[in-house]
Amino acid sequence: MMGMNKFGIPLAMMGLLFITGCNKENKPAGQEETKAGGFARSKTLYLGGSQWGDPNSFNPLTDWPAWPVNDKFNIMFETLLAYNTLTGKFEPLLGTLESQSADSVVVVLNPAAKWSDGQPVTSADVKFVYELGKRFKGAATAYAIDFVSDIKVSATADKAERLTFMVNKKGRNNPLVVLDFLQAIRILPAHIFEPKLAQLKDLAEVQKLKCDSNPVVSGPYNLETYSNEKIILKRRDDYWGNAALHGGKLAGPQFIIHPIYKSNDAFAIALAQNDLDATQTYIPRIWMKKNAGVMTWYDKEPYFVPGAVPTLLINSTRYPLSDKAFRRAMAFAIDYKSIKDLAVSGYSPDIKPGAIMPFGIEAGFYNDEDAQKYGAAFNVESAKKILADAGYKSVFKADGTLDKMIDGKGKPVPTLFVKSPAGWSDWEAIVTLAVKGMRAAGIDVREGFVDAGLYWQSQPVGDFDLEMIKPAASVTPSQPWSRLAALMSSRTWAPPGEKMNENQGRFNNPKGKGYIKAVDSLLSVIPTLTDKAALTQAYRQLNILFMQEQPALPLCYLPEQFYQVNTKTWTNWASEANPYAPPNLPWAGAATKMLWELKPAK
Amino acid sequence: MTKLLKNLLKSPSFIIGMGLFLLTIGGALLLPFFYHVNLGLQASSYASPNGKFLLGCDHLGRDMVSMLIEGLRSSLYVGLLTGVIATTLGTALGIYGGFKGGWMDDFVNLVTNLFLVIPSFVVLILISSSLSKGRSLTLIGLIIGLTTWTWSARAVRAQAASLKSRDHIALARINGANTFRVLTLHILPYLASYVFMIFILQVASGILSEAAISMIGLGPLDTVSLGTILNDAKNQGGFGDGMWWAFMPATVIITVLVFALYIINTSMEGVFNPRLRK
Repeated sequence: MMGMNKFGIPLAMMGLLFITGCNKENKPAGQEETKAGGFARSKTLYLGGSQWGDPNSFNPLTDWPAWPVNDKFNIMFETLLAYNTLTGKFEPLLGTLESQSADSVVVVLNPAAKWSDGQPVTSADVKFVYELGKRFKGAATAYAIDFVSDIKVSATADKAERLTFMVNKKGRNNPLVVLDFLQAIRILPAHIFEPKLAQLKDLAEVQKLKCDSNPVVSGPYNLETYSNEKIILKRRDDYWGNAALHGGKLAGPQFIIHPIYKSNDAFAIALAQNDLDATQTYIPRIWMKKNAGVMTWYDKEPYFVPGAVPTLLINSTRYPLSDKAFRRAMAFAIDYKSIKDLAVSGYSPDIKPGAIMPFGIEAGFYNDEDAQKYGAAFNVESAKKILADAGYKSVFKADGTLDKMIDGKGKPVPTLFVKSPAGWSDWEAIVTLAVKGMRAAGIDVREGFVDAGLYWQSQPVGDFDLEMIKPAASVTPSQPWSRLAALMSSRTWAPPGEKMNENQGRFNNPKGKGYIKAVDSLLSVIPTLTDKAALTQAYRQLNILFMQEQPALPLCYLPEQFYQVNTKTWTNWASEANPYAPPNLPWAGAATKMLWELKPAK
Repeated sequence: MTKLLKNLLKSPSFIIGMGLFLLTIGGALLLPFFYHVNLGLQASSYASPNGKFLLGCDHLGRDMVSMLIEGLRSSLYVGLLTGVIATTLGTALGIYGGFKGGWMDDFVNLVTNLFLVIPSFVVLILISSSLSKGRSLTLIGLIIGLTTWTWSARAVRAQAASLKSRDHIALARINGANTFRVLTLHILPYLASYVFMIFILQVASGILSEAAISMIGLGPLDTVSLGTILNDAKNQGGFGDGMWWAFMPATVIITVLVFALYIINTSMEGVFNPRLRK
């Protein structure tokens, strides 16, 4: 009657579910191309999970260029050094680390390093990038001048250029972050960009260039073509590093293709079907994909090398989160084991109290005695006791679920919401479980999944009660300092509504009552310490303060990148058994060298 | 009325449809008395069906049967809410516009056409990106209801327009009945069976819309619905890893429920419409 096919909708719906259920989503682009023969599967490496939106620009001077010109990727534009996230050591790339101290870091440029147009990579290129902030406030690397006061150039005995990065003593005085820069800031060809700056007169104009047609790069791959569906890189057979760094070998894959899918599950299916060789996206139950040829760093739990700490950031300016006892009770109420087992497929080792990881590069700064003494571990009774002692009363309904909370003055405690982006499946599960635990202990918390755009907006201005974050998520030379600073530093403290890029929960207001000066003094002194014992002691103190004050709730450990690869087309990937490269995808940091070791499967 | 009912009960498709519908409603309303609904974490992630968990568990180790009962209740709630809103709004506007005619009719038509082109998906996306406290089941029902009333309005309007020149309407007018009285006492009863069929279709489309919206991740954030079960299965890799219990039962329930409603609708049309009556 309504001019509508009466059975059409249910049948179509059913059909849709069957198709998505059995045929495993739409065919990823890779497969068609193999058949068309454009990029032979055996010569192409398909990587995924680093580009989600349409690639807009490959201009390295912009704030948000597309893969692989963003983040810590170094296969088009290279950094001075590569950082090995497994060993915590620097490896040579455009340069070699010669020495480091509290005052300076010295790097020797590789004289063989060349741009793709044949020009050598020189100190002028390095200075161009690091000092761009002196000329243009809007430069993407403008922050560097707060940390590096000057780059002194001298010659070594064999006439290579020696660069001495002087720590900006009057600025941030932070040699740790200078080390971060060396493995993160990509060096750009000054001889290409300077004329453009001269011609267009303004950095903002130069930033509008897309740089997507045969850009001059120093890395082993260059941009071949791109669309909204994929980005395609082609191997540069004349790459300087083939001879200088890799014994004359060519990198294995002739092409690297990054298909752009819209959701984690699409990447998961593509990886299992060997349409992708590696993806850094979250895939639940990775062990079930073993038969499809999927491999991870460890072949049993936790499968991945921990590197980041998903954390619930607490807004300390809001009542009752301003109450330390309330925050501590939250930390006791969360069942961390269930988060590990159910929300993240067991990809996390058991979590320890505090914000320092008890293993890997950070192990030396972690102290188990302190954790036992000051830390909060899952214990509902302790949580309830802390709340009761602080005067809070939880009212439960007849069916045992929480109704409301009342504070010591008899006033109702407002329901708190955990802000987290809707659709981020692993985070959604983590938040659901954290909320479940806290509610069971009588804390009135609810999930508040919001649109990702809203989530990102709310973070710097502190518009949240609790918010899921990954503080300083990269494994860099400055860890765990950078994580602790991201959670506790009051250096740029601003009231809610104004922007803050660290400690967005606004813990420890420097002008507020009960300001703990030790937190900020420790955070500023740690980067300058070179004595191992003093450094360990300082980290211990800071971690104790974290546990006592609980400005945030670390929930589990996850890898910096989910390193999961399919071995059906390419073999000889690095792994626990063959740790020749760190557990990153072969486009980031020291993991790039895997490209020269990958072998086509027989 | 009893005659109509008798005729309906003679129709096998009505019996089948009604039977299936009552079965699902019964499941939602009565099962909680016999089955302990527990949405707590009880087992490992995606535990497969066994003696304790008849249909296995979801990614958080929650009992799937409990999830389905809860989901079915939510879906029925959204369906009914949508049905009531869309049918009431659509019928009221359609009947008024159709009866009044003239510029009033044109205006109602304009509004109807305007709403007809607003997809509920867009409204949902806009609302969800502006609401910080998240979307509730009721909100989803409201939005679906407020964006799908248009076709009831159009259908009712056509019927009302054809009724307005009937003799008994003119008589009622002469007797001094105002517009409201004419509409409610002299036109609506003629359309009752028709409106009821619209209601059934609106309920069905409400259930489907909720499932579709939830499936793409725009569903309610504080409740379990059949759509959110499917969305979880998709996001947590239930499809890819062949965990059939994560998505199959919910799919079957939605299909059966909507199928039942459509059969009821068709069989009623066969009975109510004299031209189709055998």
